[in-house]
Amino acid sequence: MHVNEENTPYVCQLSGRLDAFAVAKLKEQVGVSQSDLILDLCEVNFIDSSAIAWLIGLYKQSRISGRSFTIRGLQDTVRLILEITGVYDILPIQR
Amino acid sequence: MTFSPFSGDLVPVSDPLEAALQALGDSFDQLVFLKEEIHHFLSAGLSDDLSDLLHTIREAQNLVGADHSALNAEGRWSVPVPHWIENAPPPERIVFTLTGAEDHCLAVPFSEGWLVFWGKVQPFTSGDASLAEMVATLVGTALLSRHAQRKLMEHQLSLRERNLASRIWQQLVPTQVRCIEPYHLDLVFEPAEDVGGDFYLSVGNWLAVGDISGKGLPAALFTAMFMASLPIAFQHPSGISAMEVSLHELLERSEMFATLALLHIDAQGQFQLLNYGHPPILHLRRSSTVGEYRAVAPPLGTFRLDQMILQHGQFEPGDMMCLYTDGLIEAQDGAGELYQITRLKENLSKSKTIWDAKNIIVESLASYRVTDDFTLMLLEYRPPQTYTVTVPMEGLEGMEHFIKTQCSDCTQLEMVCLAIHEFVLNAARHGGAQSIRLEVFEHEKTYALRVTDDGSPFDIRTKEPYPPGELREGGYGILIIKKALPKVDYRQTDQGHNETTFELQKGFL
Repeated sequence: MHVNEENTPYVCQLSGRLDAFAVAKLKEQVGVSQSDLILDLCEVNFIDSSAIAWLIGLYKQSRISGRSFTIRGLQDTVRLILEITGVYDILPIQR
Repeated sequence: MTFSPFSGDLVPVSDPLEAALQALGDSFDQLVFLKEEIHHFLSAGLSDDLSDLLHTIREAQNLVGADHSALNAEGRWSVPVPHWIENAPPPERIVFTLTGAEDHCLAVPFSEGWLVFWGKVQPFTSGDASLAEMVATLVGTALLSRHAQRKLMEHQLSLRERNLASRIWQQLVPTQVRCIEPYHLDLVFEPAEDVGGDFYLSVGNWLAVGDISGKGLPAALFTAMFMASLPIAFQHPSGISAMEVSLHELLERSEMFATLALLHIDAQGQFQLLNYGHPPILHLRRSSTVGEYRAVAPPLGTFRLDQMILQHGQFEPGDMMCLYTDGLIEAQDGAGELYQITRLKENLSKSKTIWDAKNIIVESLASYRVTDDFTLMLLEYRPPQTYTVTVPMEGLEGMEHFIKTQCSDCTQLEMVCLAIHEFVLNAARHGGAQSIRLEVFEHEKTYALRVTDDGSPFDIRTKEPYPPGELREGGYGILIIKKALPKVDYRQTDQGHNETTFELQKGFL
């Protein structure tokens, strides 16, 4: 994970697998309560239900705190999973 | 002197005019007679015996003024005849005498025999000959017709018997066979036009392929006996020996015999074979060498040995066994060359799985003519590939690599891996499982991916996913599993573990 802290909003670039094991660690590092957040997933090739739940959670937090939250750079496999689970049209994904 | 058909008396002829009138009258009588006889045959048909024909011949005998007549059909006389007629060869054309004749006679051939009239005071006339020729044609045609009718009836009976035999066979012999895990089993059966005596079955740990001599109903009835007695024989330690005694005697009494190959397999790859006069059973090892298990006992129904001779062996993973009947190796190509065991072995050696083997062998038979039943039973020992996840776990990449390696022909692998990932996480996190084992069983068109876990009871089939499209922070795992792996089976093992088996389609897009 790479977090660009110099700019606002924060751009968080993730890579590899975004699964339950990765999310457990990310929960402590990434949030939207302090600043706007852009989550760049262009190098993420795997996502599971725990990661989807985390993304939903981030989106809910952003709405509560009034911060913006954007997801961008979806690989086809990740987009497909988001579509199958019906969250592709709900999450704030940059098209 | 000539014959009056109305009175039956002999009348002296006084002048040529009277003779001409008499001849004209005779011709008219003959015409009426022939008309009536032809009408009779056409309208009434023929009885099974020769009585109708003999009656016609006697009428003709009266018309030509002879004392006697006889019919020789298919070499046999209808009535006793004088020795000079009996000894005479069949005439090739109409004749007015025979070698060594002791009386006036008139002999007329037809397609399947000949007619003879004799015992006339005066020589037979050309008018008599014409009538006799017509009667012979009528009789010959009638006999041919009767022969054709008999042949048709025999054919219909044969067809009925063949249909009956075929129906009996279809009721008894299954179209599909299954066997215990971890084996794969496949079968090719091609029946002959006349249902032959091939049969096969699989019951529990036993497989059998047999071939009964002969065809039709007798073979079908013995098939029934084998199909009924083998499953019982497999249930008891001395059952096969008892069956052997019983069927041997019945076959011997019927002057028939049967070859039989019996194979017992277990989950650890050990096997036992019994071969009663059957073609060699082939064992293809992963090293591509092909072993033969030849018959060590004669066919049932020939002679019995004092004791059964069992052959033993051990399969290695990937080994195949081929049981077949002689209809396969006796198939002939256009040049009359037999398929033979050598060709079967060659084709087996080229195969990686039983499905490969089946396709290669069936394709190779395209240029051969199979005249008898043929049965090809292919068995493969393929213990499942396993992978175990233990809790706590730090990642599931290893498990996903295992799935991708073992289910490589499943084209939607990414979704399958994700679904199994979700399932395993669910078992560990929500079911409290400590150990989760994956096994992959490969079938012809599918994989069976079995997941066994020691967590609390969980039957995925009963779980309904949340509707998609809601802003929920959970519940997506079940949805992914249901979408990616719709075909699923579940049971609890004797140890109380969850055993969930997913079916994955090969080539699934």
